[in-house]
Amino acid sequence: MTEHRKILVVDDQVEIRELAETILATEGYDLKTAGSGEEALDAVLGESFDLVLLDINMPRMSGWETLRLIRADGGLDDLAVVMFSIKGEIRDKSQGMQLGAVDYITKPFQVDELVSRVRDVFMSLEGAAS
Amino acid sequence: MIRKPEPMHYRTEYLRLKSALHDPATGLPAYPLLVNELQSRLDARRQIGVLHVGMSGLPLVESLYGWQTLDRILSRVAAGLTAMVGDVLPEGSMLSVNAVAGDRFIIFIPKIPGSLEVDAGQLATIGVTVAERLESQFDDDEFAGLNPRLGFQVGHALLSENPYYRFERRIHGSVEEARNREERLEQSRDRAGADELRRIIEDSDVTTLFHPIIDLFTGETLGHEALARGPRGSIYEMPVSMFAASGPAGETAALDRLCRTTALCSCCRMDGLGKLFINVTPQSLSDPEWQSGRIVDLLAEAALTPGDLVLELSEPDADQDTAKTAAAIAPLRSRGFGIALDDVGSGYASLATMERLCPDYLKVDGSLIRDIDSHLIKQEALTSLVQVAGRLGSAVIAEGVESEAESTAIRDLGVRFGQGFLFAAPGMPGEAAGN
Repeated sequence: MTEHRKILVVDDQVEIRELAETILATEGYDLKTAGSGEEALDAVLGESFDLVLLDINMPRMSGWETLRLIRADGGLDDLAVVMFSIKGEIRDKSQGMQLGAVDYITKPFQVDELVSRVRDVFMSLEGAAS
Repeated sequence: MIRKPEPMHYRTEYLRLKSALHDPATGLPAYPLLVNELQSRLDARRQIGVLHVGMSGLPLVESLYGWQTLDRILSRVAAGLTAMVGDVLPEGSMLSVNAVAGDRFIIFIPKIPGSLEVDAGQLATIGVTVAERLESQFDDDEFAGLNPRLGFQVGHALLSENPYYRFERRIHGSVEEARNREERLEQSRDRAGADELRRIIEDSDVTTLFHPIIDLFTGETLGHEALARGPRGSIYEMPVSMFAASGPAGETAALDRLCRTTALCSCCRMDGLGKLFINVTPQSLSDPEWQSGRIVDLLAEAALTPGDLVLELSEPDADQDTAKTAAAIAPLRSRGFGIALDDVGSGYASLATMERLCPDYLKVDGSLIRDIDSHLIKQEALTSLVQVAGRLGSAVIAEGVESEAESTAIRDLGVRFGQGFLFAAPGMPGEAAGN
């Protein structure tokens, strides 16, 4: 099921990147990481991903801006983006929906939680595609 | 020293500009992007026609149905206008929006077949046809049930060059002029609407429907929400349209009182009523009727006590004073009336408002319930609301429950009560009661 699914983890904190990378690689996903919004844009424009896990609070270019720019490209409309944030606020969720995020993960996350959220996202994407 | 920019920097900058000038919902550019094109069109002619397409009722639609619906409407309008090019709109017409995520359309018409220069009379005629076409487009499809009905107005202006003016400002000026003309059209419509509203109040031309609120766990009926309806088939059939018009007409308190009295008079014929939920605008809480004995007399005539009545407050706008509302409901609460906060989850101010008002019931807006069974973010948001409600000691009522799947999902998330077409449509007394 999970092979060939390619995920990009974007966070300015190296610990979060490595943690998410380890957890999800163990599940059999293909992982890449980026340490900033600019790097993330470079990555998604350069190769194709199935899912981007995107931190909201990053210096210089925030996750919101990164998401807005991903959506502005026009060629990436089908790319699923899930936001990471330390705040679990409704306002953040609403903003994410408006900019075209499909889900939301609150940091710090548990191993099981991250795995099951990612699995849920892929399942609902399959559901929507069929 | 000359610094060579990184290629990545160019790309980021490009996307930044693109996101600032291209509207994702409609796929149209914001009109400032057309400056060069307009300038080159004016090399060959003296003037270009400008149409400004505006819609009435949009803020209300967004507040009732959410931004997603408004985006769908705008994208539908954009598609409709695109299809008109080469037909109602002359070939070569340029479509744009007033801004990214704007809600108005600007059409530039350089040339009308058969005439040397575009003139104002032709533009006005085209504008009328465009408005009619758009209106009929929303008649026979998924938006037919939309209330308030969308109204389209088109204003026009002419754009020409003048060496004394900067060209961009000429464009802004002509767009503004077309918009002003459009707004004058809308105002004359509004004035006719206000007269009709006064007639409705004078003739008490309002009826009440009752919409049951169901306990999701036992299937029992908690009570009914009284829903006012204006004259059937008129633009004022739905209460939101009446109340939206009542503000500018200065009739909100009178309309509120009429709806309330009508609801109390109709429910006395109803068996199995349970609690009666009545919509109250926060402003009208200062109506002396609430503080006097008259409301209790009215209740007594309907064989009700204050404990049977729940006042549904629409969530106050950010600019309304929550503290004032809280002060106004305190004496009502001590008389035994229940308090419900309506439309929760559709705005940002809710947490602070909920805490301040501590309502007996939180009514969660239907936009949060729609398709919640397949929508993770909505489930998260509802879960947070249920937790907040638990801490405040409020019971949660989900509005707009339309499917079995939604009903199961919200029950699993801990919502006790539901209201919506899944259980029953709003009905007249007798139809809605019992069974």
